[in-house]
Amino acid sequence: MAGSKTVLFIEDDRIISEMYGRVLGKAGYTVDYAYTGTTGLSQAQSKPYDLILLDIMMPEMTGIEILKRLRADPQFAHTKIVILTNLAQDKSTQEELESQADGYLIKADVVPSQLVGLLQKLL
Amino acid sequence: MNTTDSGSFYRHLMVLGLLAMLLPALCVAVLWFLTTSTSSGVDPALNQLATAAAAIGLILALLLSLGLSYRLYRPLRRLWQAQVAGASNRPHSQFKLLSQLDRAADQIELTLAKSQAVAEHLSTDRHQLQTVLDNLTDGIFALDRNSRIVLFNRAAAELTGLTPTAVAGQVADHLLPLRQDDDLILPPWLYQHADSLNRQIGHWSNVDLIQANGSGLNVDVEAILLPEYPAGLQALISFRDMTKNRQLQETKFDFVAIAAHELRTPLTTIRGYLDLLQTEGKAELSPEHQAFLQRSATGAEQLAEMVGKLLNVSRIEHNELNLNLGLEDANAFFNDLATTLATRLAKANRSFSAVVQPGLPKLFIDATAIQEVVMNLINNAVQHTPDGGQISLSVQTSGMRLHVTVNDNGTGIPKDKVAKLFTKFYRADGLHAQHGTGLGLFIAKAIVEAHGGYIWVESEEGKGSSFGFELPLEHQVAAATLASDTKGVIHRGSHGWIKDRSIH
Repeated sequence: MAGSKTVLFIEDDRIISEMYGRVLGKAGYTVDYAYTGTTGLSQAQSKPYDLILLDIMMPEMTGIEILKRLRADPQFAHTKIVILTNLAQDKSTQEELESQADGYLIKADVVPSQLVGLLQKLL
Repeated sequence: MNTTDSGSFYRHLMVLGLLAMLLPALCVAVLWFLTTSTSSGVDPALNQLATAAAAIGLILALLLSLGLSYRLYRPLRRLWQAQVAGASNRPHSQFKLLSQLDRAADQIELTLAKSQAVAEHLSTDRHQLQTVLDNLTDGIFALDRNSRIVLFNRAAAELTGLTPTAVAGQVADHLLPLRQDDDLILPPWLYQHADSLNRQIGHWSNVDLIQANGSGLNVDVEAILLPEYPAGLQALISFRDMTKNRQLQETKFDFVAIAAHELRTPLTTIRGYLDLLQTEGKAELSPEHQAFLQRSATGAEQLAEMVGKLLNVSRIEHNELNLNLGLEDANAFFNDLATTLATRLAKANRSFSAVVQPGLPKLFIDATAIQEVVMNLINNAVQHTPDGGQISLSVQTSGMRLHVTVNDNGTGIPKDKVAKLFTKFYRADGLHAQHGTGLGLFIAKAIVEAHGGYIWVESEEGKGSSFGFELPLEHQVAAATLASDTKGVIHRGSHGWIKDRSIH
């Protein structure tokens, strides 16, 4: 589909990647997958993405770390980045994330059929 | 007894003695003269006179002797009697004095013994008190009117690293810095209540105490200010080392956070794939199988909610309850909520009605959290009502407060359970209680109180219950200025938040 929105999904659990990726694909998005932080960062640089979905608990580099690096790069200043995790954050980290990220969703509370609706507010 | 002095007594004796001896001698002389004179022809009348005189003289001499001997006899007798009395212990005037002295001596000895006993008791009591003070695990110190330390028990010395001799008479303020959130707690509190006529008690928890060697302890402090300064005391302060407790609480908090994350991971997969099956399998699955899937999905959803609640409770206890306050249109908020509830309660076979006062002011609340509060109250009502039971919601202002009430006509709550309703593990005992962690009301209370509000319950067994909470409305003006959101519009829910970029 020409002009379809592109999504980069940085998540180390493939089962979960596939789960959400499937509905995004069916909703017309083009989804690329990265299973480590490093791959994710280099993938993000390779082409412009409309949305980056970011897990936090990953080997080598946490999602927060990746978020910081992305936002530090002016190239990604306007990229929509949504954190998709099962980790709860303390008050101070939450406040920081509210200014840096465009969304923070708890996976266990968001089933695939809800994801598209939520992301549509952003895209 | 004649108490004239012994000098005159003896003089009398001498005179009497002399007379007693001279008179008989004189009479004998007269008689000899008579016998010799009869032969020389003296006048016979003279003879008779001389004889009479001699006879009288002899009688006088006899009387004098008797008097003299009696005079001598009386004291001698008394001496004898005294000796006898002394020998047989019979009270006698001279010995009365001695026995009185003896009794007096006995009493003095008794009093001395009593005083000694009292002194020993005092010493034992004092020793006991000191032993008690020194074996308490809480540190205790007392201040006099000038804030100088006059008492410092062993635990205080051990906990602070200061010796009693080092602190005695010193001003407490800088020697024993006790800080809560970087503010010194003690001298300010003492000054604040110095003029109070009532005994003042202060409690502080999570207080930092810096020990003499520089390391820190986390303590709980209690101070008592005595209004009438008995025995020169102004204040008593006790503090307890809570460092291990705090560490344990931290460990507990961390554990719950990790556990929640671990539970959520497989739950994500379960919920996610059930959802996919439900969406994609509609054509291939029989209605019955679809219903099965829905049951699984509901169960998994409840599990997810439970994990969320556990996490919330842990955060509430750690004072980490995260409120995302925002300006809400109260009418829209409650009307939407009422609609959602109507659907849910119809499914749960309860009759529902809602009354929302029109023209409500804007509310500065965490919408997700307040929604959770109402949901918890409704769930509670469902658990206490039978099928077909009535539940109603009312929202109205009352002065400067917003009152939200959930009424039901169910079984009510027994009086002895009311006190525990809002505690962590209250469970509805009712027949209709199906599931629930017992945490809903605890969380509801924490949320309401974090908003500066107040939650309550009125219930009558057999008649029903009324749960309500109020939220203050005063903050509206101040809140309006705070709510200018530089981050853009944020949609929040139990699942997290997402920014709305469609509105500019």
